[in-house]
Amino acid sequence: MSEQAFMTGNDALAEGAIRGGCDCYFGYPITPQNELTAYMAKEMTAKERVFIQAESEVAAINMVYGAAATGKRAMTSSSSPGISLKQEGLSYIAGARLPMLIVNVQRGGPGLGSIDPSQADYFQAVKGGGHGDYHLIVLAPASVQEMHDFAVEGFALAEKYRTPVMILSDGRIGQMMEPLKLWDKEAPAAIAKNWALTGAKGRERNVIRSFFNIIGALEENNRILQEGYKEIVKNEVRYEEYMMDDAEVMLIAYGTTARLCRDVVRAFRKEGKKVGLLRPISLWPFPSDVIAEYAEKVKLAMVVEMSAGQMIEDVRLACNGVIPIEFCGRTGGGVPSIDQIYTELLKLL
Amino acid sequence: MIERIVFSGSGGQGLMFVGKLFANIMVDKVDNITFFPSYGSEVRGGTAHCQVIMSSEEIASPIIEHADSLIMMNQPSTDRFMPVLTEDGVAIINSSLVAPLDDKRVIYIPASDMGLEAGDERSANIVMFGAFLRYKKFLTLEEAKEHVLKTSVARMGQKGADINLKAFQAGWDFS
Repeated sequence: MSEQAFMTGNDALAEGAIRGGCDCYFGYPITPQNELTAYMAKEMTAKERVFIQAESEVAAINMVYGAAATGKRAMTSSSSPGISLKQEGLSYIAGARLPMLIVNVQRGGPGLGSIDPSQADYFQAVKGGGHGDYHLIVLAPASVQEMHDFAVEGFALAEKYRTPVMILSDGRIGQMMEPLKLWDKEAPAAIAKNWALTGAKGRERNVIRSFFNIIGALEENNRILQEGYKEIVKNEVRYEEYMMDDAEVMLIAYGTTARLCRDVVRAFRKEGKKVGLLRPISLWPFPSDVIAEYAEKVKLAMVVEMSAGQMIEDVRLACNGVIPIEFCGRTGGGVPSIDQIYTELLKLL
Repeated sequence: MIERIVFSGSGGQGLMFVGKLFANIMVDKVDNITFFPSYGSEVRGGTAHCQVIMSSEEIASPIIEHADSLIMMNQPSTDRFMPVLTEDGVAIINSSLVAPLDDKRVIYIPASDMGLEAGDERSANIVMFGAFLRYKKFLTLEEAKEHVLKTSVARMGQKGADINLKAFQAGWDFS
């Protein structure tokens, strides 16, 4: 039987990254993800791995850039304002095609905002955030267990496609404690990194860069990136269906709001109303195809987010006008109550 | 089965400690459980609270909208959380620090005074915990004391743990 634990989402994610083979952590404190940094400070040093509290978020992401270039499993974590600071580095890392793990335990924005949970960084996470044509693989956990599991597999996934992976969580899942099963096997195997900067003695030197000033070279790098993204879209779409088999109404939500929607679905089902939930787990690549298929079957969809409506744009693109897409949400650190979601959906039925 | 409990007091009164201790004890005894702390600057001086939900069903939100039990150490906590207590809920309130209410759902216990008697006013949280566990019958006295002892020794050494045990017993006997 696997090892049981009772942890906060932040701690569970940190432990997952350690068990997933994290060699180096670089971070800078910010609420509501501080437990993650504190956990790494204690446990990474105890295991004689690298932990550095950098002087800023910008420094931390560039330390990740350097460490990842040597083929080490490197990660950083922060919350919304700190993630904004890391965007330049992320763009460089994506351009240099380096695997790494980045965690955003979202809080309310814009600006310094608040420390309350939010999902308002969706656009930033899935539409680039930094400059240039790049994507991150973005995974959205809805439980403490998934915080742990996604961190375990984050590095292997990043290495498979030579791309940064982001875990997009929020203050509620980061702070809450829930029971979970800890990963009790070896860390997922590292993929051979013949591109890494490990000392060029006896071989051709490797170069890691995101700057290409020879005519055509940058376009070639972009072509390689886009080829990789096609593979990711083909292989890595993840979602969960909840009571969707006979659903006439589809709720769509991820992370914290998806948990709330499961309760809403159960409440409607008790009244004999056929409501189901489609939960995107990978926000990029987005489960567009499955949403499009359901758009042919259901009468109505409602997207629930802790934002003014961001993921709803991808849902609209997927549905292409086939069904009405409604929205329920709160902004600025507000979390919809189960009653609010229920009442707003009831009005539409 | 669902039980929704709020532990609340001033930052430093140890309600987060008690809530976490309780959740850690109960995690092996229930199907589903969540613990949620207040995590703002309020922890240092204002109203610090935590919320524990136990349920036979999956728990959608760790935030309590309707509470079955309140453990309230001070006036601001009482003012804030009494409105969410269910009709047949129970509030255990530290009467050393909180003005009495005309409400049948309230059990008053002079926890700060009793903590002082046990050897340290700071053990008032454990007095409250004893009264709460006795009332709700979640654990036997022996089992509860064992957990209080183990956690207290680890956190504050034998001397503090002895005071906590006395405080716990006093709270248990009061209820």
